[in-house]
Amino acid sequence: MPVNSPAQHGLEIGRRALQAQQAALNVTGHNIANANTPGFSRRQISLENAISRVNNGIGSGADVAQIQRQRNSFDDAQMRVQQQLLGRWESLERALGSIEAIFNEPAGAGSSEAGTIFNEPSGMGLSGSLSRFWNAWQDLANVPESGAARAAVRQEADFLVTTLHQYNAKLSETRTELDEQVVWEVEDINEILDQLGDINAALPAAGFSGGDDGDLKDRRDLLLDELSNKIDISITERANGQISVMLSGHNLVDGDSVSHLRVRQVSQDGRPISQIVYEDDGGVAPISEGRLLGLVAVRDEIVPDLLDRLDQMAVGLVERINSLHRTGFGLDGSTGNNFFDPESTTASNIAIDRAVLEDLDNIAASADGNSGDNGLALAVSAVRNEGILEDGTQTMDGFYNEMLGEIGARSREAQTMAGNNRLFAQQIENRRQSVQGVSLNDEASQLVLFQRAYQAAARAVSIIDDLMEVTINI
Amino acid sequence: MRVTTKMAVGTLVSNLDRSYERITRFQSQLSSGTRINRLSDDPAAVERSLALRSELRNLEQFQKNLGDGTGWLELSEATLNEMETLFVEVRGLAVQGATSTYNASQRNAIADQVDQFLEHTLSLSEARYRGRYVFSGTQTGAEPYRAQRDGNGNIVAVAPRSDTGGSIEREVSDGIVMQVNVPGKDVFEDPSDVRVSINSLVEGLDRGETQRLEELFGGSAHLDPGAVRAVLDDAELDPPLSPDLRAVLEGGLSDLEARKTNPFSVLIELRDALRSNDSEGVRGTLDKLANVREHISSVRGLIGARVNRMQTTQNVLDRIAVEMTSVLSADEDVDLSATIVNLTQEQDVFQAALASGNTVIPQSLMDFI
Repeated sequence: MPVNSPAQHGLEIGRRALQAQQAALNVTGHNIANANTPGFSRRQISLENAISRVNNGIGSGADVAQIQRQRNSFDDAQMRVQQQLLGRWESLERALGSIEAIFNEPAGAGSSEAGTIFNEPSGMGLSGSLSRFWNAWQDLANVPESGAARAAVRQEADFLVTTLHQYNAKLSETRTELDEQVVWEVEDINEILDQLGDINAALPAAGFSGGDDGDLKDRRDLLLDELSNKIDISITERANGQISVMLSGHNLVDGDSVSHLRVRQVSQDGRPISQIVYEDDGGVAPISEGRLLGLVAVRDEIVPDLLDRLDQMAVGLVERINSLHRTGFGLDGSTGNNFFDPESTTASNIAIDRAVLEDLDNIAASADGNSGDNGLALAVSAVRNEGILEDGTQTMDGFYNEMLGEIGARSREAQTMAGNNRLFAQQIENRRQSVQGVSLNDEASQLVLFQRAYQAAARAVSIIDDLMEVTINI
Repeated sequence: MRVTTKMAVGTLVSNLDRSYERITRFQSQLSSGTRINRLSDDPAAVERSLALRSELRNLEQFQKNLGDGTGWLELSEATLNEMETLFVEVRGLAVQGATSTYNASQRNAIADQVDQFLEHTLSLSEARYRGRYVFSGTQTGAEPYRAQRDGNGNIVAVAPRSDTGGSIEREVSDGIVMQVNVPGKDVFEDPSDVRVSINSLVEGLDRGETQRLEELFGGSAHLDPGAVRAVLDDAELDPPLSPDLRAVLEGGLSDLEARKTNPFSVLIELRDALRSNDSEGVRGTLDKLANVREHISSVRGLIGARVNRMQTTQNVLDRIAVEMTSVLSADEDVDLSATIVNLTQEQDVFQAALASGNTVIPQSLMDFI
């Protein structure tokens, strides 16, 4: 290598300096441009003094050593665990909130219940229908000879039956909606898996060819955050930058090969629901955390449990009241009639018996056959205090109130837990941002720093130029 | 810790969200007046308040039942009050009719009045409450008594159409049932247990006569008036009754007769005695009339006691309703002053957050270079 003149050497140092400062300014510009980009990790440029090839003690100026992506993988791992919890509690919060809303409706008009919005206390819900049903029997007991009081009994019974039907229908709808959400979530998951596979495929090439793989990794990490919110994946990163994603030991993404999840229709309590399975071997994919778990838990446990309880109420009502009613006498002396249709004993199909629908006189108020006797009407209205549910330990009202209390408590728990987990996620995110986030103050000071260095380097080149001019003009 | 602009914005936004959520909650509590707008707002209170509300609806029904029952009893009481007054008057007439100085036509005139009273008593027995015969027991659809009349339209006998003894009840509070009707049987008919025990008759009789008495009645322990009268009227008894035995039976019979309280038969007996100008017969009804009046009076006392009990129950229910409403209110209603104070505080926090965000976040080193 020929020995350059000192002036040439100076120009070379200046050129390198300008290049290095320019690169640093570009990195700062990239950082500023992405200050608000989700998932972006700021880049940090490190300069080094160039190794001098001439041992004249002066050195060869500065070089760009590396451009580093600032990221803390420990925080990432924590965030993903947190996202799984957050996903579960947030989906529970939403689903339970909509179940809760089924039992909330506009206010009733009872004298002691003006001004309340909350459906159940206000008497328009099932609790109110039950009260009014019992009271209608008491009214009938006051005038056992009356057709009008019988009409009121039938009307309140109709309202009660309709309310049960509605609650049953709305809960079933909720179950269907949850099932649809499960399907959408699985589609979303597959989309993310595909993107992860694509990124995996691109990564080694990007790293190998000396290009910048930081942006690919940023996108990949963002997708992993999203995926963790939905299911409980475990992630391992290889030396070449590729990751593999597993769901309880089953590979979903491995290198650039992707294995999807899919749903299979199976029957649960006679209703089709979507079961989540692995696409490759068809095995059931166990979901133990994340948004999918929340959806599946409400769909498969909470809603069926509530439907079952409504059915229990329907059975209790039909069997107990019919067994009393058959012993009584209608206004026309007929006896042995059922009040509710004995064949229909679920919340979805409970119905008033045909005999009562056809003729109000078939409603029995009398226990001894005399039209003025109200023994049976009193006995029916006394059913409200009888333990006819849960092996004779629980009254109708108590059973239903307990059920609502439970829905409320569950929904409240989900709200609190979702709130807490949002807070934790926010804290972890803050920790992450503290490392990877772009601070405009930092970048501004960098700008000043590199701008000044650039100006100074340019000045040095210009001075060397002046010197060379002097030399040439001698 | 290194703090970036995004962190500052993120923290500000999440704090603002939380603060705004609280403000909205206080605001919805204030505008609805209730603390509980969803089941999850306070599940324990929801369960309590649901139970209380159905209790309250129950109470309202009991109060309705009590109102209806009291109405029923008060009508019965008014009817019996009129009947008692009537019997006081009838007894006055009977005293006149028993006076030996009255002649047949005067007695006949009194008999006409008594006949009117008899008709009136029959119409009183047909008193109705909201279209239902109150003295018909549970057969409220038909009048309780039917009069049998002779060719001139005079009542000769009054008999119940069917069983008038049924009891009508109202549930007046949880599991407590009260009878609200006075069965016609208790007012317009003789007590069903007008009987005399044979042992009380044999006292003072010798062994032979005691044995005869037991033979006559086939060994039954209690005798009713009909059986005694049949023996006394039997002219073909062999051997005939000894005077002692006859006296004992007649004494027993008059005791039994004195216990009869059927107002119709007394009035018929009085009228017929007056018509036939039989002052002895008229005198014989005086005790019975007093008896009937006393009986009616005692039934009225019973009704009075029941009405009192109903009113006490009503008062208790009213008090319970007030207490329940206040418990309910404690669970459900918004504590206005506390909520307004909370809302104001939260608003201050919200505004401070907005203001501080506004001052701090837009600033950076960029402004100075």
